[in-house]
Amino acid sequence: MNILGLSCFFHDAAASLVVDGAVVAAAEEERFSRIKHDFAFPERAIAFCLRQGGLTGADLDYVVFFEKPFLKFERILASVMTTVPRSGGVFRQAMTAWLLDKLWVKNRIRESLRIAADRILFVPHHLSHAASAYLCSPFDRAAILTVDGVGEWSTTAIGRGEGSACALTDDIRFPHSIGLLYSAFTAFLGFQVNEGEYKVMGMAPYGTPRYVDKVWRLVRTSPDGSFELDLDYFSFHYSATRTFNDRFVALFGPPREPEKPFFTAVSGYPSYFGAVPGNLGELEAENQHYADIAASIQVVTEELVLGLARAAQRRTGATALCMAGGVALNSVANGRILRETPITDLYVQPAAGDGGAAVGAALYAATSLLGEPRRGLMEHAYWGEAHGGAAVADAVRDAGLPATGELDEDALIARVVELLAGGSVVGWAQGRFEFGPRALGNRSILADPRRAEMKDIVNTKIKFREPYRPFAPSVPVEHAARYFALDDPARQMPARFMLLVTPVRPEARETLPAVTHVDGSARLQTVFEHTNPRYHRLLSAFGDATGVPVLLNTSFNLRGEPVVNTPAEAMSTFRRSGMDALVLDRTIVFATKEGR
Amino acid sequence: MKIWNQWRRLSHRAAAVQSHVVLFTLYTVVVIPVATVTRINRKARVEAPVWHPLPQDAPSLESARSQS
Repeated sequence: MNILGLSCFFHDAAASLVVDGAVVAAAEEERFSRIKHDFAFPERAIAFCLRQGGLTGADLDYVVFFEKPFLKFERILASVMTTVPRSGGVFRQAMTAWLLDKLWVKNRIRESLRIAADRILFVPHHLSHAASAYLCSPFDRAAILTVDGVGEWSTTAIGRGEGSACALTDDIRFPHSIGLLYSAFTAFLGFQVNEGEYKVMGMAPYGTPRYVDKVWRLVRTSPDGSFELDLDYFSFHYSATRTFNDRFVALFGPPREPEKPFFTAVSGYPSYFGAVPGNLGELEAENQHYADIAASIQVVTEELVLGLARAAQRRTGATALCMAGGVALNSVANGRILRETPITDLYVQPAAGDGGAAVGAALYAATSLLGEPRRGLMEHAYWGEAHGGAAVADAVRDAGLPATGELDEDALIARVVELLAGGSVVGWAQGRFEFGPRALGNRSILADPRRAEMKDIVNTKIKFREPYRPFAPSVPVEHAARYFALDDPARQMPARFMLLVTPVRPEARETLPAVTHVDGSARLQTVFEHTNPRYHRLLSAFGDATGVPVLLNTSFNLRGEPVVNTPAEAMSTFRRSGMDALVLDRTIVFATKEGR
Repeated sequence: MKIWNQWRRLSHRAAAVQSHVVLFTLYTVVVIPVATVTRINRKARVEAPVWHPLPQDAPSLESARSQS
């Protein structure tokens, strides 16, 4: 049976194809449209999924949408009604979007895929998330926890999975939302909502959580893990433009100006910011205040998530937990769940946000509605598009840069190791691109993590991004425990997807300065030979050459752009950045003749 | 072509203004009074901070065909 899963119209539109219960393809629309977090109807991602499966729209048995649009519309109308007369802006914006697009999703699907109306299904938002976690996990029995901004009404849900069945049993409803709480602070700290949350997470270790008590004024918890926001401090439920209100500002001070350089006494003043300002101390103190706020909301979020994880464990008796929803991308909280709760096994899907719900909706339909066998195990994230030799050859020829011919794998690995060990920054594009926000060795920028200066070089010369944000290490799973405080690394599924922050062993911190964050932690990726043999081989060969089988791995994109898809896009990004070499499948391209 | 593009830009702006006016009127004339009456008669719907049990109906294609 061929089932297409879709998510769109909010953020991170995506499509996925499930054939006979197994995932065949999954990709976010942004990789094709080149619009970051593109939420439009995913025409291009659908076309890719069908191409990958060798299908046309007529071959599809069902198309499954990741939520119930009318329920969501009802929630928006109810929110508008309860917040009259302040909700005029939300009403106008919501009506325009819903009446023009969102209410007609069924028609849009019918038009796009020429499929009969009774073949279009709708799975509730949080159930789609739940299925994306449990049905992709290796567990036969698990607790399920979904946490995000908001779906239809639910913002948080608990459930259980057993065999091929998964169900949600209880939820917490809008406007009480951990995702929206975190987003309010994201906006307050000068970042874009639904985009800058991970920047808050990166900023937090530079601060001290001295405002935790103030943050707890905004949210109350119960021993059963449930929570309630004090809405007197927020405006997200009635404003289209602002997530927090004046009372919030009175509590935490004025919001941080967007795009203002961030540095503290700990980070130092980076030379690439230009001349040192006369009021350096004053600016450092100001930034420290915001870092302390970031640290405080991070701590409170972690505590809330830990409370929910414990509640899910108590209710189900299961020690395995499957998590999804945008908050499941908070890799620091994920690490604490494993260290501080009775949960012994955790699974977080690589695209835990709304994009991944496209997979969940399709898998739920396949197993729970249509009785297909459960075959959705997702132990890697390589579900995107691959590009053959012709596309590589065209990109290399068009660029006119010095390049090798197509190398055999031994020669390729040896040359790339030589470049990395010599201090080069290398773009690395091979195979199918990753599903989800992380680059996991198929669309990555790689560098030597032993060199402390690499962090600044990659942040400023290559990616042009904020200097406080950490870089992640990739390590072959068999070597992970040597460098990172992680029990039985092969068992820790989130680490495969770079969704687990764990302490770097104290004795390894000096060895890995470029990937050890300011608090001594790292968001590692464990690499398995059977899921990514070439990348595993590169890491192992780097280890043979240098004694350290670890590489700095960051996503292959420039600031504000989606991760690259095609060889031509990889080449374009390469040419606009300060990378030294680019590996396109088995061809190496050099920025200069000298580099070759 | 130039005239066509100018017309499109103009009509787009006119549509934006019209939708503002229509939605403002709808909000003022319908939403505010209805919401006010509803509030007087019924406590506003703000969910309590507790777990809400979800219906445990058996999954079915029929319910999945519904958008609500």
